[in-house]
Amino acid sequence: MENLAKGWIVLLPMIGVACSFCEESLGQEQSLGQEHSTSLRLVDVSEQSGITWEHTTGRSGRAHIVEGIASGLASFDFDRDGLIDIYLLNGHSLTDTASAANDLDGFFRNLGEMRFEDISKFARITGSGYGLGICAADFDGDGFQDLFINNFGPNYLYRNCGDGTFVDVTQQAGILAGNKVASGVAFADFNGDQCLDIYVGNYVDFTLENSVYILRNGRPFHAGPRYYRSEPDEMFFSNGDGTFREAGKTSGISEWAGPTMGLIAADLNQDGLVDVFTANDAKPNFFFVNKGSGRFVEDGVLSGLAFDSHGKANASMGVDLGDFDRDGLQDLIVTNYQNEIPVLYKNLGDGLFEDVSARANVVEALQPHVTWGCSLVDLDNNGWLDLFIGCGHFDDAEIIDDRTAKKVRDFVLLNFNSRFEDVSTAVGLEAVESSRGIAFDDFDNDGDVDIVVLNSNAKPTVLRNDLLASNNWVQIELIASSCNRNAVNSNVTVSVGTTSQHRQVICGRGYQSSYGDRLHFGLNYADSRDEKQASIQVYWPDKSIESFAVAVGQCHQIRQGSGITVQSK
Amino acid sequence: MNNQAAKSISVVQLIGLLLGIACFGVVGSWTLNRWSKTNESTELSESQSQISAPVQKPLAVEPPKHASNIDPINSDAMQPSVVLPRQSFAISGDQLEAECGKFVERLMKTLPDNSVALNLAALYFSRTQQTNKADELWKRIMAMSPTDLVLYYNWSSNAIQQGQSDRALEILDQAERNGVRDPQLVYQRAVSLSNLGRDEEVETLLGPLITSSTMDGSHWLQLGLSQSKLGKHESARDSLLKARELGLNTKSLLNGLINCSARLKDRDAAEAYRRELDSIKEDITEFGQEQYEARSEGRIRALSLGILGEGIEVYRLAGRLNDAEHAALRVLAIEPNSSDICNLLYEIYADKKEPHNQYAVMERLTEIQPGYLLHYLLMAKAASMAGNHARAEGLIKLTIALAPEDATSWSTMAEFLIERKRSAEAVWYIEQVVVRAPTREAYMLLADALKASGQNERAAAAEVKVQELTKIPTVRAQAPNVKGP
Repeated sequence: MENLAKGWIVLLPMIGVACSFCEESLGQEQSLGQEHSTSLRLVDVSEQSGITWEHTTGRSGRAHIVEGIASGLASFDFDRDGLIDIYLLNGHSLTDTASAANDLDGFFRNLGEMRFEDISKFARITGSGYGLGICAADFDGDGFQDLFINNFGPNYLYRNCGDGTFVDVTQQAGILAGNKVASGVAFADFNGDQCLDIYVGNYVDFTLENSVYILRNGRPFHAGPRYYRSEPDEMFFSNGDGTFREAGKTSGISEWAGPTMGLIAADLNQDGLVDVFTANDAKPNFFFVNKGSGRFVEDGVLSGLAFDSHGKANASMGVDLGDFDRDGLQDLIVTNYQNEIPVLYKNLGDGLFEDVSARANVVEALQPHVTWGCSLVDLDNNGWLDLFIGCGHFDDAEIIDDRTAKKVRDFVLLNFNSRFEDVSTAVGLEAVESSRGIAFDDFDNDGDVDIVVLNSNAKPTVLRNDLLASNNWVQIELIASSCNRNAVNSNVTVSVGTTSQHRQVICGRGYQSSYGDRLHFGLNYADSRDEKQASIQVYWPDKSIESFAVAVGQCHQIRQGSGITVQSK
Repeated sequence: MNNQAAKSISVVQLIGLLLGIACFGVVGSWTLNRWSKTNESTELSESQSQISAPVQKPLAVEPPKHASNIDPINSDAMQPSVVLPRQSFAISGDQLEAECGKFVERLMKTLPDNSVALNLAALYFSRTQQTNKADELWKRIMAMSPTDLVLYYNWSSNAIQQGQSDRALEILDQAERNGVRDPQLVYQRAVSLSNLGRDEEVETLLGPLITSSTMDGSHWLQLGLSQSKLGKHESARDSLLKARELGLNTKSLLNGLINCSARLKDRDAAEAYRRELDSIKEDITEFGQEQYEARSEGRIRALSLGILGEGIEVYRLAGRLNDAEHAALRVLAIEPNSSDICNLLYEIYADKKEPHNQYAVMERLTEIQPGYLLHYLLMAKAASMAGNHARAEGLIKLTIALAPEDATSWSTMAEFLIERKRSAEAVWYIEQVVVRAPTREAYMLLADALKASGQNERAAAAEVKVQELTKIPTVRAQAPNVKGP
């Protein structure tokens, strides 16, 4: 076990101060009803953040389908300074190729205290294309996280050189995917060789030539995915040397074509193998169950994940995973199109899921809006995973529907014992934009999760979490001894007092985005006030299990082999 | 949210429901009783009307090769004062939408105190996502007619569809306070409660209705889905299967059965239901691919024409026949092949007592739906009402020729002849009916006709047959008692 970089350690005493201050600040809690209150505050610090970059879809005026769905983002510590940085994908003009070169992705180095520095040009990631999906992962196990950018057009794999720059290794790595309308992307070890493979989501067979143009009352409206043919996703298995081989056919993935948007690769049926869930737009979702040796079987319908509880195939957008009811099983939240409420799928075990959105009170107020980025994340450190859901239309919805608009406010639902409550206005959420990808990480290292929202055709919204509650926390970063260095798909259980929480390291999630490598556990004050330490149990990808005892209120980097072995591989 | 379950009742449907007439069923509801409304009164026995009563649905035959096989009309009496379009007048979705909006505004202005008209307007506002306007209108209707079932059904349904199940419950509570109770409102309440995660209450609400005849397939489906959410998978499966028995076979039902079976670890059954689900053709209508488009041409056209169509019926029922006629002709100018609108127009002309125009509309319908025998029979009726009996007779003969094995046309001719005091000629036609459909009613009609034409012996023989056929159901009804303990 080792502490993180120096910038992080410096902040630790401040956290202690913040926590003791919080205890006196409980009187400022917002009452949310008869039983609940919150001191969560999400403060919009976009202006002060230094992020002046603005997203563009290209605004062709033709409402091309790709313009509506752009773009995702990634938050990851690219320079290993202990501060989590941000990479924002961009679109570009689809008609004016000359100006397209000016619409670069936004790459921002975290300077601490929610201040960021533009390093887009320095990082040498140029010409990255019309960005839709992204994932950060250390694919070559050199300790630095690399980037896979999934585009409308050719995709790119950028290797992190470790000196602040990146180099395009797409061709030499053998990633011959692309030139399609891409979507989410995930890294995981699908075939059990301890190396990270790649799952590349694809959407539909749209091109500028076959683009469907719809004009209503003189305004362009986006043609939906049903106007186009769905594209199968792709899979690449690692050769263990930084190169990959195509595995779509052998894995069985390419037999299925759904308009994939967000996706997640995780062990969802507790058999130790990494499965894949793809959120499909206007078609039943897919659940690819890993049968071992890199072979997958699609089981969406029987698992209960294809449809919502009414048997409806929604137009699914984003997906995230988390144990919202603390039963030890990882549940899924899936965002959807307008007139469809985001669906919370409770994991029943044995590969079965149930839509519990209504019971868990995933509020109907979300229904008028198109929903995108999302996360099951503990925003108030009470030990229960809350919900943050990004909203916004791609059309001028306000002229045809008095319930919604192109730009609307996002939603925060706090979790009180497995039932959510809408606290969006109470916590100060005010930004009105059209959200797409959203990243959730502790950007200012103060022990709570902050938020960066990529807004379509606008600057991002940076939300600093100014939680005043006295709840404690612990954060965990894993370093495995295999070439899957970030221990993707490891499971971690944190126990404090009588309660335990479970997380899985996920690489690629939300709306075509990537975040949350550092696992964050909020520790309810009532459970943890007398506890100075948390017990950690890590289930490493190679099936070995280790336990650790760590101090609460800190972030810990845990190396495989440094704990007490509970079970060897 | 359960959008699927909560569908608004159209104004016309509800009018039909409340007044006991079938919506758009005007054609199908024609019986000999209406035939007897001609200027010349005719005495008909009870049996006569019963014979034709089965004509409730259009009788379809293979359409002729040519659009219409009817000779031109020569009689002046049959000259219509309406010209029905055969080519569509081009109009964009945007224009149609604007026109529909104006139509609704005019309807509200013309019939400001007519709750049916206002319900239609509210439905229009709701469907075009002008939800605040719709809500205001429903409040106004409630103040005007607080016991209006249509109001509460559509209002609550709208709330559910907009993702406001709390609001739907408030509306349903209000209905109950105003003494409006209906199984459909119970169902709406169940859907709302389920959308709010209150499935225990759904079970409590629907449970007592299980033995009641008001439990239809959709009630059982909702009960099953709620039981499933409560983890009562066996009960859920039983409820869903009951819904299936009652004729429901939706994706929602099959998905429910898959989930129950999977959770009961009956994977084989789950797989079987999955295969069944796969076999259901995807719900892609002509504009299905536009499902996820904010404003599709197909949707706008369907909605606008639907509202205009219902508005026609609202005007007609309100007695504003000129408004109704104008609206119907306008829709036909856009959709000249709409059989529904032609049927409405036929009713409008019936109300206006313009049989020559009824004739013209039915003639047009024989072009749109050439295989529907009923259109020919209704043309015959219109011709007769207009005093052109020869034309009427000719058309019935044509109908018989188009489908010689169908007893209805034969019986219609018999009735026509009796009405024309040509009972002796009617006998042969009734004999043809008896050959094709030897029912008690057919023999009764035969007996009456034979008596009227002075053939008393044969009439007596027919009456014996009537007696025999009358006994048969009695004997059968006694059979279980004979076998009883």
